[in-house]
Parts: sequence; structure tokens; C-alpha cells
Amino acid sequence: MAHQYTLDCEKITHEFSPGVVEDEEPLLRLLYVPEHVDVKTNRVIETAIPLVDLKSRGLSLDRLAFAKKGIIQERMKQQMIRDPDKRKEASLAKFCCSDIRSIVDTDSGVRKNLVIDDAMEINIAHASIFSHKEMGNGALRKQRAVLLEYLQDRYCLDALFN
Amino acid sequence: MIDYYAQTDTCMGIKAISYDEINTHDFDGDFIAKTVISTVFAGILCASNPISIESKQETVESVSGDRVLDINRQDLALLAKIREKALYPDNWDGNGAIAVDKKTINDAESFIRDLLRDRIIYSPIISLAADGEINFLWVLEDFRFDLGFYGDQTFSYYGKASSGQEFISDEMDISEGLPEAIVNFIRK
Amino acid sequence: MNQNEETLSFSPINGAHAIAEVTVFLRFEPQFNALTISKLLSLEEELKDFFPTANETRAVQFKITGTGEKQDVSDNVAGIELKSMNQEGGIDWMMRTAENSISVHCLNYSTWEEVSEQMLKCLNATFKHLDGSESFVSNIGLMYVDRFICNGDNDEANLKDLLKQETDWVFKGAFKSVNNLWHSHIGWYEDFSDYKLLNQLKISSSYANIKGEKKLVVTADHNVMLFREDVKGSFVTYSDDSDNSIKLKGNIDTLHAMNKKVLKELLTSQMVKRINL
Repeated sequence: MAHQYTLDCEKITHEFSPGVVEDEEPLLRLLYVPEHVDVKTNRVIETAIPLVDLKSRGLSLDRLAFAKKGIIQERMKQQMIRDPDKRKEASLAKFCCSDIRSIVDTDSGVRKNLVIDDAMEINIAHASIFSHKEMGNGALRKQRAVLLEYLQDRYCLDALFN
Repeated sequence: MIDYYAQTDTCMGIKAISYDEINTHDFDGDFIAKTVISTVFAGILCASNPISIESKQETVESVSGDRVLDINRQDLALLAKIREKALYPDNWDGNGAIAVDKKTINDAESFIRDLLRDRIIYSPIISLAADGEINFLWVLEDFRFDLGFYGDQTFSYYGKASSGQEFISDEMDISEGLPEAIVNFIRK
Repeated sequence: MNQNEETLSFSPINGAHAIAEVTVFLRFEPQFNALTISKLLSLEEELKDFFPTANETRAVQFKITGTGEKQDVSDNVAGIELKSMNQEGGIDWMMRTAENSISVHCLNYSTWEEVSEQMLKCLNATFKHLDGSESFVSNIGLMYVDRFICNGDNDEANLKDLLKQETDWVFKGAFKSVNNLWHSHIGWYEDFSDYKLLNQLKISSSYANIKGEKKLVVTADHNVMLFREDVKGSFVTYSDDSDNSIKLKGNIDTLHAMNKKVLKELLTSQMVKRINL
């Protein structure tokens, strides 16, 4: 079932939220290396952005300003990374919220993505990207192809938190 | 009986003694009688007079020898990559990723078998998304093509050529296969 | 413990699958007479598009006298072997007729649908040559040879990655064999899908030369057979009519399903997923 969020929801905060997600905020997306990286080009590939996340679950992000290293580290530990050394690799994509919100439909000018504050008690830094409009999987693939460009600037955990 | 076997340092059933030999071992008549009886009894069970074991009937001979197919053959290599995805458990990404469904594996396999029939193509990158999609991605000089399966016997895709031409479908039946215009991009 | 390809110490020998060979066979009683054997030789011409290579097989019989002389020597055609070879010179498909059997062997497995279709085509082609023969089909069988190769170091092979410890189909000692070498040969009858099927399962762990390297290989050789006397109603005959073809297809599909059942009881759930059983 598709999500029910609208543009107005970007201005709503939740019980544990430190505030709405501002345009100028840096956001982080935890990637799964090496599954979601093309080894030949070292670029993040489409499966880093699940279609169901855009459609209904929300593409999980961490707001850098409020993120806790330990919480992200715990998620990384649980990842089934084949090569333990890969855990030290750059697996956090960093981009600006405005990069995502400024993506519009070239014909209508309508925004393509919502960035919603999705704070949880266990992780107040949690936010999500949703597709603004309901669309089929083909169109969602096109949307993620554009989003993908913003996942290419990658860092390892220590580089962001030390 | 036990005394005689201890004398000859054997255990029951292993020492083979011919009837001529029996006479040279100073065995008494009682032992000889027992030996004859046990030999006759053993003869019923031994190979020279076998009990037929029905469940052990002979069948056909294998001809495979040490034959191994070339695992780098394109169809085998791609099918192996698809099947490896089945081993990823729930929560494989530490963030609630779901394990891939067997139906999705089957759809991906059916598609690639049909695609490779009588064709040589560039191999796609095969990866798994956290929502259970099996994805085929072609990253070519003049064409990027994203195609995926969710196990409902359909697939969807988006592709863009360097010329700007786009190809998009929300739902194609697995049995339909790819349009030839797209195949031409990924064909070697 | 999460397990993926890299943590399983065995993988299927052909990458995507473990099937080294699958063979369908029909056995006949009584043995084919000389006329039937000679009729079957015409398969060489009829199936040459699929089997470009053919050679006759011969049966030589003789007696050795007390003085060591050969007596009563006879040398007769026993059957024919038809082969389809690949570019590397290996056999992809083979069909063999012998004095009391016809078998079709596939060594380049794709899917059951494709392979069984080809097998049935080959068998149906033989039937018109059997018409009028006194021999009848006494049993139908399917043989699968599955092989799994140790990844990495042979000493680090862990049989528990491949076979279920609690399986009924291999003895417990196999998991304790100190040098990883062992074998198990068993046979049993099982009620399955309205039939009583004979299963024979030979599993062994041994070294093999795989592309110049000494590798530990576990082989599971599974025969499943259906006998005439265990079928109520009519059994498969040597007829290429559609009823017989449907019956034959139904029978070999049943044997195939029995093989899958046994493998699922034998292999770990991870390996079952790995070969998409």
C-alpha cells in the first residue's frame, strides 16, 4: 500500500523529533557494500534504493546533525558483509536535503520526492525519503536513477564522526 | 569351538580353512562336523549362493565420469549469481531487508534463460534490493538499463541511452520477454 | 549464523546446479531378440540430427576350458550408442540401447521441462522398432548424479554445510570420518503418489581431479524405479501414441518428484536454496 504523505507532512514533527528536516541539513544513507556498489566503477547502483521504500516504507536516512555514531555502527555490525574488512569501507552516502527536494518533474515542475522527519525513540535522527506521487515500478526506477546521483559521495563512519 | 579359534588365533568367520587343512590341524571329529555345518550354512549366505536382495537391483551405468561443465559459461554463471541471492537471510542489511522469495528467483531464472536462448548478450550486474527485488543492471557505454523482479511473474524496467532515448515499463509479463529495441542495446 | 556462498564449504559442481547427469531408462523382459536389436540400429539414421555420433556395441561371449582354451565364441551386435558432443569434445547427450534396456543420458542439464521433453522424444522414437517384439517394459527408472565440490581447502570441508545431520539417508559416521572420506549405499521402497517406488542412493565423499586440482567431491547417485508389478492398471508399453506418451511423461515426472523429495531430505536448507530445488 502506498504511503499517505503529502508535501505538508514535511513540516510536521513527531514525538521524539528534534525538529523538521531543514533544506540545508546534511543527510546520510547507509549503504550495503559490496552488494550495492559496481566493483568496476566503484559507483553505487540502483538496488541501493529499494522501490518499495520510495513507494511505501520510506528510504531510511540519518540526519547528520542528530545522528549517533553508535546507533549507525550497530546497524553496520548486523550487515551481512562478506568481507569483514569491507566494514571499514566508505558505506555512508552524504548529501544535502535540498538536493533531494529540488528534484522536479521536467514537464509539470511538481516535486518528485518528500523528505520527512521520521524520528523514533531509539533513533531521533531518523528521516525518510518518499516518492511524492504514486507511480508504477517503471516510473519509480526512473526516479531512483536520478536519486542515485546523490548517493555517490561516500564516507566511512570514522570520517564523519571523528 | 572357541578353544579351536583361540588356538588358531582367529575369530569366527574370518579364518578360511580347506578341508585338507582341517586334517593337518589335529582337530577332532566334533570340530570337523561343526565346520562342515557352519560352512554349509555360510555357503547359503555367501556370494556363491546368494540371497537375492530385491532393493539392490542393478540399474543403468553412469557415463558422467569426472565431467564438469564450464561454470563460467554465461547461462551457468548468471543462474549461479541469481541462486546465490537465495542464501541472503532476513535482515541481511541490518536494516530490515527481506530475504528473496523463491518465486522471484524463478522469475529471474525464466527471464534470463529466455534472454540467452540463441543470443549472446552483455552480462548484467545482478544484485538484491532490501525489498526483495532481484535486479539486473546493464551499465554499458551507450545504455544504462535497470530491470527487476518481485516474484509476481512480471518485470519492470527503465533504461536510458546516451542519445537520450528512454525505455520504460511498469509491468511486463515474464513470458513476453524484452522488446527487440532493448535487446539490440544489450546484445554483443 | 548468517550463511552465504562464502561461508558454505561446498558448492554445486556446475556453479548454478549440481547435476552431473540425469538418465531415464526403460528395462525390458525378456531380453531383446536379434531382430529387435537390429531394428533399433536404424535409430542412428533417424536421430542423426540430434545425435551426430553413433557406434554399435557388441557382446562377446566365450567359454574357457580346463586347458585354458576359448570355446563357443560368439560376437554379436548388442545395441547402439548415439552421442551429441559439445565443442570441447565432451558428451552432452547420449542414448544407449542394450540387450534389455534403453537409456537416455543428459550431461548438460537445463530445466526438467526441457530435458524431459527431449528424453521423451528419444524414447518415443524407439517404440516403433519394438512393435511386435516379445519384450515388454518391466520397469522405468530415473538416475540423478549430483556432485558438490569443496570450496577452498579440502581440510576445511564441513559436511554439515551440505547434508542434514538428522537425515535418514546417510549414516552418522559420515560426519565423523577423520579424513572426510566415506561412502554410503542404501536402498528402500517408498509409497509416493499412488506408486511404490524403489530408491537406491549411493553417496560418497572422495577426491577427484577437477580442472587439474585435487578437490574433495561429494557425489549423490540416486536411482528411482517404478516396476510393472507395482502399477495397478496398465503400464507403459512400446507405443508412440499420445496415451502412452502421456503415461510415460506422468511416470517420469513422478520419478523426478521423488528425486526432489529425497534431495530435500538429504541436503541442508541452504544448499536446497542454493540449487533452487
